[in-house]
Amino acid sequence: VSPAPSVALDATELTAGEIALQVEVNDYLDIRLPAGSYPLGLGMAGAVDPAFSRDLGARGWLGMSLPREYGGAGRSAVERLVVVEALLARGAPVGYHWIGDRQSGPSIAANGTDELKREVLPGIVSGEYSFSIGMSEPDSGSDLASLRSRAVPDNGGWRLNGTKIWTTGADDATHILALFRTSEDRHHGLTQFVVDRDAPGLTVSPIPFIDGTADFCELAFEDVFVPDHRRLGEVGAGWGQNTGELALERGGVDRWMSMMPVLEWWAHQLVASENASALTDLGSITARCWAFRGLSLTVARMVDAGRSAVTEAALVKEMATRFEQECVAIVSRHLGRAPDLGSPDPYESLLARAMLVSPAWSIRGGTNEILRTVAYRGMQPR
Amino acid sequence: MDFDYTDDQRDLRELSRNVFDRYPAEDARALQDSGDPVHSTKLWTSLAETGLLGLAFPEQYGGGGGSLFELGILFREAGHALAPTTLASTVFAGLLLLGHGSDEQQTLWLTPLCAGDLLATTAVSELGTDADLESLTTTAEETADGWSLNGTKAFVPNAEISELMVVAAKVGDVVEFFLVPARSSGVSMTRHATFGQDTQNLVTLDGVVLPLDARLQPDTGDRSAALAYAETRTVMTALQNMELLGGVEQVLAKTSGYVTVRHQFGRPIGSFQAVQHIVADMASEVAAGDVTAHHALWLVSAGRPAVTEVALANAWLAPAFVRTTVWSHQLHGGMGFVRESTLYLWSQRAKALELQLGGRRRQLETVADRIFAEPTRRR
Repeated sequence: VSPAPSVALDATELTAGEIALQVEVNDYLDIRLPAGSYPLGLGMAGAVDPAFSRDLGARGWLGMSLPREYGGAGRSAVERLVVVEALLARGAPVGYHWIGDRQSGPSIAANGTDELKREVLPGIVSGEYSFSIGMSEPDSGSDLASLRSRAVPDNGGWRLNGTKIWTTGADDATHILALFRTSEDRHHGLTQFVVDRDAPGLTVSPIPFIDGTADFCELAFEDVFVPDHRRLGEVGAGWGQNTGELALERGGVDRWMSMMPVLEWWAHQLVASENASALTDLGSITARCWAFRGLSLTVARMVDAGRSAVTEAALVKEMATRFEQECVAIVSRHLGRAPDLGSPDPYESLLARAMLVSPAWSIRGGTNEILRTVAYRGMQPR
Repeated sequence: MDFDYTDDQRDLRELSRNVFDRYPAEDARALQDSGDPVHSTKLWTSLAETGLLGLAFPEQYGGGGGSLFELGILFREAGHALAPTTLASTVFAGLLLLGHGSDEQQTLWLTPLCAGDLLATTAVSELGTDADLESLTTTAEETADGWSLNGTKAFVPNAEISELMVVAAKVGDVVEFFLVPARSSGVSMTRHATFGQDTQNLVTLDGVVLPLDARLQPDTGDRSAALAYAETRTVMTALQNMELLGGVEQVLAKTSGYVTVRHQFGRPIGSFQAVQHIVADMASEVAAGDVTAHHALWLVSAGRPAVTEVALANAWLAPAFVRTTVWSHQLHGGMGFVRESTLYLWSQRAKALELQLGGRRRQLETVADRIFAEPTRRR
């Protein structure tokens, strides 16, 4: 029985060079991030720490796959995976550079003019710039193509008006990469722009979230001017570029590693345990982590080979977020009581946060219902 | 046997709903945000004035003399409304008093309870004991001055605003319960920071001196305190099953309403099969929970053995409430996660209730005990 034609995941493993990088990164992090010296984060929702981001930039571990002429290291998506995996395993403070490193940088490198690349890519590589993505709107979530925020040509540039919502990290960001309507054509009337966070007319309002954080923001654009060289790609090309970005956003290790610090903490507690059901659960979680790691690695190899991984990345995110949510349920069940958000034990507090926010994992970056549709369509013969 | 409500029971449900309507979710959120224990004096006064607070307590104490089935109807509406947990903690303490106290003890404490003048709670769990009576370490010693209590109780609901705590302590190897005025000398407490809207305290008893008649002691009968506690806990679990049911029903109602007003792709999201199937899954949870909770409650109310049925209903409903809130979040998208919406209050309550009364493991063990005990007996 042959698999459906468009889902092609080939098994792969790390090369000796990639393993050497892994050792180097972990050695560095052992010193730079000793346990207890930083606020633990749930994967990509790690704390915002610009100094840490700059340190990573100085080591060449941000924007790794970006071209050398723009400050990048010209390294591979797999090498980036190796670095990111080491960071997320520790719940490192990755919040400041996360979006720029993961997707805005690669997307600008692929679609931007030479001028735009020279302007922003070096800042992403050095950790100076923090990117945020303006996609969803109050009436356009899963149906992103219905978005109404508008960009109108004006005086050699563009005037932006409208409202974006759920824009992660916008308050701390230096740049927003946002999608605007430039014509009525549903999919071909959308264009991306790089907007300065402090541009006149842009108001960023953090939204109080149920775990007490305020990383998600609402953005009000009122006659915000952007020069034309801040347009990313052709007018009307935004939808396709955005879709390409989602492959970077959905297929990575960040979709199954949010709970890693909590899982490790829990596993340590089981070292001398004879609780068979807990040990069985731990074994099952470990086996699935291994499988997801293999999937993310394969998606990264596809990116390096220049192959589209949109369908595969959708599958990874759909499965992996359900797995992460199950991890939260399993660990809290074995804890046997409600974890304390204010616990002096940072891992227990992190588990409490995970219980509050984990239902969002299968929503952010595309709901599972949408991802299943994407996966199914991708499997159809073209 | 069917569990359709009688006209009187329907009236009771209506009355309960009207009273809880005076406590909208926005009030619950405001109370939670205030940082103070979540308790509404306004709601409490209404519950007392309408007789709902004393619904199932004897008339001689100012109660309504109603059945536990009727009390379950009140708890179902409490679940709908996310009523403060002071209702459950006070009723639990009251039922324990009713089940194991003397006439004098009942008169002294149940009268103000029914009148709405007394908040009460039960202090059993200790850190690491999982509410297992055998492993409790709090002690009560008989001294020349009366009883002397020493120990630390964990996760005591609403202790800091309760006037009375019913405290489990060991006299030698025997577990007994003691009526401890919360402001007694030697009682100190801190608050556990839970993520739910419930207040739970760590209560330290350091040489708390109580009169000899502070020990819960019925006038007749030789049933042990541990057995009385186990029976009361079964009743309380049956009532909390109804609260869970009310919660699940409310989340289903909120969700089915939302999917008809939220439009994407030019139509209500409720017109998509993927969404319809999730709502249908939620409705299945409600239907199964409804039947099992009412059946167990009816057995309890009739005084019939119900330990397994109550555990089965709880093992279904507690995770069902969690599952339902998770699905509801999925269909509400980002809106379900902001404090502006109130859905998260139900999610928090669902998780808190799932871990209460010993949690899922205890319920499943109860069911398993029955499964393995029965065939052996028959053989």
